[in-house]
Amino acid sequence: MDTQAHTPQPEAERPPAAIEQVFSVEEALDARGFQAFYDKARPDGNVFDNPRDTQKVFELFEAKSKAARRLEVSMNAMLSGRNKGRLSAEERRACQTHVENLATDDPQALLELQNDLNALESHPAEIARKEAEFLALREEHKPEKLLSAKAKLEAKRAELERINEEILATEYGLIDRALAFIGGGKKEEDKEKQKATKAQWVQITADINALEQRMTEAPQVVATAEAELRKIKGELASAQEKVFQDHDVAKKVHERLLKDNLVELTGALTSTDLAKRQKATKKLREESEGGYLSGEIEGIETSLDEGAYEKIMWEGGTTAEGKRIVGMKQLFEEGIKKVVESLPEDAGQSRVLRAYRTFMRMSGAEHGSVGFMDEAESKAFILETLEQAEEEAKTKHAGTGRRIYYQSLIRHLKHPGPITV
Amino acid sequence: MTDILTQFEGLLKAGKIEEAKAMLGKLAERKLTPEEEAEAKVLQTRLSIKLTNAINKAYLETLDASIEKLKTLNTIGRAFDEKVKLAEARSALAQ
Repeated sequence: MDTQAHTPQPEAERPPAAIEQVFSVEEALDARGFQAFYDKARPDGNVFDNPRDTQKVFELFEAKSKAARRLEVSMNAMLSGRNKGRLSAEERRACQTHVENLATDDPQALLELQNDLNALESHPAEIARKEAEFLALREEHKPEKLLSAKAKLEAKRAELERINEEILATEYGLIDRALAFIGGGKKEEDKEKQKATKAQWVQITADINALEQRMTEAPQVVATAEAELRKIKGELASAQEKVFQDHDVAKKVHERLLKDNLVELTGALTSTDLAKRQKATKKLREESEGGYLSGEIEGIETSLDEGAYEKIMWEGGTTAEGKRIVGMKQLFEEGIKKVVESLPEDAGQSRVLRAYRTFMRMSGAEHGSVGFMDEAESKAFILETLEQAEEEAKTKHAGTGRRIYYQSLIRHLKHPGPITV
Repeated sequence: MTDILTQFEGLLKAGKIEEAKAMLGKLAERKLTPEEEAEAKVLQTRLSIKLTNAINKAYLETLDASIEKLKTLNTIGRAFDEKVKLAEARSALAQ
């Protein structure tokens, strides 16, 4: 009999069975990129010496890989305004390196990033759920609903008053008095009834007062909440605008996006494929109405290929910033004219107004300026361009009505709202 | 650049968003290589995530507080509805 087999081994000599059951160093080494990661995380370590530690490093490696993918998605969505795989190879690499550095140099910061990503991803659903709850509650406090409840109560109160009046008006005859005397009869019953009616009346009156208080308070609570929520939503838009527009790196990103959007949108808008064109128009409308990005113009670069865009963007002026601004100005000037010139001769007011909304957005009146001037300056620039174009149209497009489009745009930019006589 | 990333993450962790933003601004003043520019965009994204989360959190808190207030008013409403029903029953009995 082999007693050795039944002898428990001392604790220190036991193999790390639990680790080996779920974690294999060899398998971990098969994971692409793990070796390099381990080397970076444990510059002096031996991957086989301490499997438990290797497992920790591997867990960190997996966590960072997931976090890097999630950060890429967020980066893509935030930089482009929508998730379309627009990141360049350099940007993706930078994203992966960033997360890898966090994982090796400061695992706590990686945890922080994971928490941030969790919050970023879970907030929209949580917000949607709570907004629905808020709306349902708001519905219950609608003035019409409360008014109808109040009307019901008032009717009930009037009914009680009528019953009370009837009791008071009752004439008691001899028999009634006799019956009352012997402890029964109508009078005692009426007394009880009157008492009960009075109690109900008092209660209903108190309830009507409470209801009136509720009718005053509920709209206030709803209005305050809605104003506050609107304000926070506005802050979100403005904070994101600031992050992406306040400095040069941001502006470069913004310009790249502008260019990407223009190329994509106008390509689709001028396409002969109707479905494609409709989709692009819908997208343009959505972005005009609520998107964070500003600056897209229908038809702006129909004559500008990417090379021409770069040329115009960077060759104006003398300083780098000057060049950029002059380039942007030329681009927008050209774009504004192209938009109006691309309108068909029989274009209705709604088409002109759609173009007007684009200019408004560019001018900063709706979603921030075009990014190279402040709001007032931007608006003045667009006005000046339109006025100049209107003047040119007198000779260039005499009799076509294009001049009127410019006038219409100028009027809307100067005095938004309908003109009535 | 790696030092900058660490510093930047440190500022974010400490909730010093304005300082992080200023740091990003200074970074932008330098002549950046394409790699550095890509890294700056990662930082921008991190900053944007922090801001978005902070604002979403404020939005959720406001929603919670408003829901709570409306629920309190609703409780008054429910107690009140019960009273109405009771009053109706009593009135029917009295008649």
